[in-house]
Amino acid sequence: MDSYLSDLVPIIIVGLSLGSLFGLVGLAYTVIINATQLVNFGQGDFAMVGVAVCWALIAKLGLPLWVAFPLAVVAGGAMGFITNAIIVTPLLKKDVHPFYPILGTMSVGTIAAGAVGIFTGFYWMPIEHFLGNEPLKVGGIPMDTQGLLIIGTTVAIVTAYWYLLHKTRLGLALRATGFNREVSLLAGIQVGKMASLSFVISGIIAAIAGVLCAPFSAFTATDGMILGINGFIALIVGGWGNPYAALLGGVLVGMIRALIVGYISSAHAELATFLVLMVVLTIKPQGLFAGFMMPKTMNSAR
Amino acid sequence: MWRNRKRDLMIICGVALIGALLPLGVADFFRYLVVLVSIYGIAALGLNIFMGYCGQINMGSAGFFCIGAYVPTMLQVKYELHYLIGFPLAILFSLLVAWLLSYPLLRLKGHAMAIGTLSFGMAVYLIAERFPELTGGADGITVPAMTIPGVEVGDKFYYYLILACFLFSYLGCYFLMDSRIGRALKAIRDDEDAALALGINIDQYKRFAWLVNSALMSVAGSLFAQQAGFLSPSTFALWTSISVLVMICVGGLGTNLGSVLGAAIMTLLPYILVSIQEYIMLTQGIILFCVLRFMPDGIVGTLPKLIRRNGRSKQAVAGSGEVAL
Repeated sequence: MDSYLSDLVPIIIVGLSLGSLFGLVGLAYTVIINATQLVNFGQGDFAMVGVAVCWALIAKLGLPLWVAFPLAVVAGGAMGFITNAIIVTPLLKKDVHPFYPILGTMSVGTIAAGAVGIFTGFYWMPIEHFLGNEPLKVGGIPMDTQGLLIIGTTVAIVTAYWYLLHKTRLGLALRATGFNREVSLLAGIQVGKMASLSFVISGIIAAIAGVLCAPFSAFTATDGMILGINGFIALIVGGWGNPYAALLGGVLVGMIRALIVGYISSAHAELATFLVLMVVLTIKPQGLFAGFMMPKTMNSAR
Repeated sequence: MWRNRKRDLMIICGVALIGALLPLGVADFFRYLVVLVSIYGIAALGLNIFMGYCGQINMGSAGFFCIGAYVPTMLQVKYELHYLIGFPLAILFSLLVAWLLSYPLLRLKGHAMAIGTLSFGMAVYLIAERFPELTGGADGITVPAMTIPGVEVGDKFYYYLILACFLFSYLGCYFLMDSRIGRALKAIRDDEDAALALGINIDQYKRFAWLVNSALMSVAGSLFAQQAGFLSPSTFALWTSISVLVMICVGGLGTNLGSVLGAAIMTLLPYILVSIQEYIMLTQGIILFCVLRFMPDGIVGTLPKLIRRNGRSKQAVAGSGEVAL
């Protein structure tokens, strides 16, 4: 019993960092959903592109991390911009079925994954721990510095996003676009630019998430999809179109996963994630924390 | 309507005849390609009924493909149950799974349904990979060859078996979509509320389309296992679901012919375009991108508009005129 408890703190830290990672990807989805009501199925591949750029700059060109990281983030943003420009906007203009732009984002993601895969031969793209491999010891309990970094970054990004969304005119325009496209257009909001901006922000957040988790897991060209799915699960478990609910959903999923890895078996952790999703979809399809911290009007914007 | 049908049936019979005579004249590799196209054609027909006709989203079809492949194989390996018993059992099992899943999944709409079905597909894949005692695990498993007394079970036998299954599925889908059920499914796709107002039992018809989808995917899986001779869980990962989805989008959602054409194109193009496995993902991504961007109605929806033909293609256009999903 004693060993169970002493294991608990590191497991909680792992769960929190994993959860904030999923929540961060879920937030990246939510940014686009809030502005355009679209799900970007290439989200994970945005993260993968960030990792690939960061890895290529460090391993191939020998640049230091503090140069490569911002460039990778820029690449993620560019990826978002390109996706919106070459497929999402043209398809929305054609007035096809809503699922087509989503498939379009997936096709861009697949092209990116395929291209990076050819470049890397579908092998790992390893990135060192940012702050060294030595775990931080607090009161005798070892803590992974990368995990703490992820938690900290997530809190910072969510706070920044909250500030952007609720305290600036730009955020108001972004929210209005997602709430009602036509009325926003009448009010003089440049709806197209807002959609584009949301894709760029989303790409940036995804790239940050990807690069942060790359030292944890051996990232290959096709792993972006997996990260994307986990983020989407976080989003659905938490609540549709609500960034804070996505974060909470991510933490819940990450915790469950860490507890299963810690106490049962690592082989069944992924399976459990999908089972949790199925259960949530069965009992509460709108998400567990759907109304969390959101004004009532935003919820009706589904 | 009837004249069209007569002509269509004659075309199908012609294709069947050509298919039956093919092995006499062509190389083994070509026969292998026909088999592959038939297998994926069956899968695409199944997914098309649920997505193209009924307008729902299924991103986890590989789950049923996996069940169809593993159930008869494991029954043969563990209990030495003959395949001719195993195949129907696999279909029954995937119908049962689909029926159970239909209660949570079919209530969902849009993205929630996409992620729900996707997670089902991933769950089946993970079960196949992480439970070695059940499925042979990540190392894969060899599928024992079928034995029937008095019949030589070789490449030709599989060719005819798979071709027969394919033609049977195609005819089934063809008649189904001309029937009352097909019209009800299309009505649900076009406008759910209007369909409800017309007295169509939406839940029942959605469930029906979902069950047909699962059954056809499972048939395709069983045939795939027999044809491949070796099963590895990675074959049934997310990518398979997506590539079947790409097939029906390329061919044109909501047309049987389109599904088969899409299956043919997406199966054959990698063989024609690239010889290296690593390029396939990029190729498929580019094809999907180009189809969505430049001809969202798919091949069957776009080509007839270009060449202005009558008859069958016109009917096909009528089916896919509004590309509702």
